[in-house]
Amino acid sequence: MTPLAVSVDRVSFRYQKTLVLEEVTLQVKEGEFLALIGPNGAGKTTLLKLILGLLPLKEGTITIFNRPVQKLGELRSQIGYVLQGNTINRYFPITVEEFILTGRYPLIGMGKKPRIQDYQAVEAVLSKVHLTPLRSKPIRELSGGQWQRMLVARALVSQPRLLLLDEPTTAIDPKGSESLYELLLTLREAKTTIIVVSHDVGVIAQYADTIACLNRTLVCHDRPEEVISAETLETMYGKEVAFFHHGEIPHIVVKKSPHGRQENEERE
Amino acid sequence: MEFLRFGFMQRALLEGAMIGVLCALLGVFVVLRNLSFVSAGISHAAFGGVALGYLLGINVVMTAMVFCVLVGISVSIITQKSILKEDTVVGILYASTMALGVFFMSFTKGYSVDLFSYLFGSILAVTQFDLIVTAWVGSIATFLVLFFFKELTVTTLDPETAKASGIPAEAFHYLFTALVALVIVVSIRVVGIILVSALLVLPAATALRIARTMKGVTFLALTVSLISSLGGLILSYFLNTPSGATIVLLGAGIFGGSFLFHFPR
Ligand SMILES: Nc1ncnc2c1ncn2[C@@H]1O[C@H](COP(=O)(O)OP(=O)(O)OP(=O)(O)O)[C@@H](O)[C@H]1O
Ligand SMILES: [Mg+2]
Repeated sequence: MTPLAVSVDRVSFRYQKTLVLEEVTLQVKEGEFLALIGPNGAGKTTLLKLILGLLPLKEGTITIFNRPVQKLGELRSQIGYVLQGNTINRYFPITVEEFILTGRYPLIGMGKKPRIQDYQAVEAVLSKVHLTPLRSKPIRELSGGQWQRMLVARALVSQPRLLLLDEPTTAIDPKGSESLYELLLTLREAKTTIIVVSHDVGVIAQYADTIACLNRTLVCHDRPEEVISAETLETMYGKEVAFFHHGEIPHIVVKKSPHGRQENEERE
Repeated sequence: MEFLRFGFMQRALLEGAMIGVLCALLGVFVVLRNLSFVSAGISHAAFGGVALGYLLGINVVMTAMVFCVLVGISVSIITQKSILKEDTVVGILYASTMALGVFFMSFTKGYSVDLFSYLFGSILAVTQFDLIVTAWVGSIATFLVLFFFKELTVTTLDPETAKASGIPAEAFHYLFTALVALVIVVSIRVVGIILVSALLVLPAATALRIARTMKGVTFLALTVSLISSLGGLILSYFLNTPSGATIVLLGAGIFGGSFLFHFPR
């Protein structure tokens, strides 16, 4: 049996009083490429933050490589991530390559200087995300898509065993997003475990090994062809959503309601 | 160069050089961490400390340090543990400590004009003891900032990601705030309580407008800061003006002047 990279067991989470995750149980095998999907506000980001230890875990357990998330210690440096709506100070005086180098800091250690292998890792990852020509630009001069690729590069530069990406293809053009997913596939060859949150259900279904559907509770977790059925999607997104195949690429669309009115309920 | 023969002037310039370096080094992070107003709040808290020192007849530098560090750390803790923003917390704490200072003063019989020099700085005021305290604080602060430069950078740049990777971002925030408080206290002699935060902010702000890398910003901030502090002290000697005001006006002049030569951003 393949060992588990991430094991989420009966995890519930609430912000103040609002229950956002309810009894979520999810297991991700080492080397698995998991797509996490679900509507806005479903708790996807919350789940990733719990896995990263950024939110306090009160109900249930999470283990990463068999270590409880509260006691990760050194293992933390083996997790790479791209957070959604990150808190980065865009006007910080730092170049693209220096920024990516900060992803190596946990490996370098406190009070120590970067070594040759750290610069080599930056070099390698720069070309992987096609940012080499922009390496010495200040980060504030990047476009939205270039910025996103830089974040992915920072997550990759520490050669993580576990990679968490929260909507990494937001603001990336179709070609760029394809090349990002191709890049993720090459990482999977190297047995990296990958969890990607995405709303491009159709696109991600072509790359992921499994898809997990979250909507406060875990609706399903299975191979893409099993998950992408009218039923599960209806449970997740409501009746207005239809799903069809067009050539090779599956699509999800919102049906126009007969009265020209769009239902868009916000869950409390 | 005859002014260099005076002992008080030698002490003032030595002190000015040290605080010039310190304020530039920390100021870059103060501005990048949006702590400009917090640093102004911390410096005003020194007034409460100085007044308490006078009241009790003990060394005012020590009481001011206690006040400033306490206020600095309190602002950080309250902002992290509640939904209040820094400007609100600073607004409350600095007014309270100033009020406390005035309160203490009213109990101090015939308080001296000396207190005025704490508010606006004086070149005559620097003592041997001040120099020693500044040298100590300066060495510790410089060592810590350089040793943890990487960590300060990454916790300033992206605190959430730093935290996720196991770097104790909050601990660094407290450490940094405490260092800022200490540097503010040692700078008060020359620049004064009211104006000291400007010396932290002006050189860094000037440098951040122009330079594009941390190295460049730090180097430029050091240059601007030393020109302001040493130039300001020398000018204040010849013009017979308060040193703090002269230093800050020189710094502000350089900041304003930088717009003439460098407008983009
Ligand atoms: N800091 C917070 N305080 C209170 N409530 C929050 C907080 N962050 C998120 N929530 C709420 O928790 C729920 C889940 O949020 P979460 O960010 O995990 O959703 P998501 O699945 O990532 O959505 P999206 O697709 O929009 O990114 C939402 O209803 C949101 O309003
Ligand atoms: Mg989200």
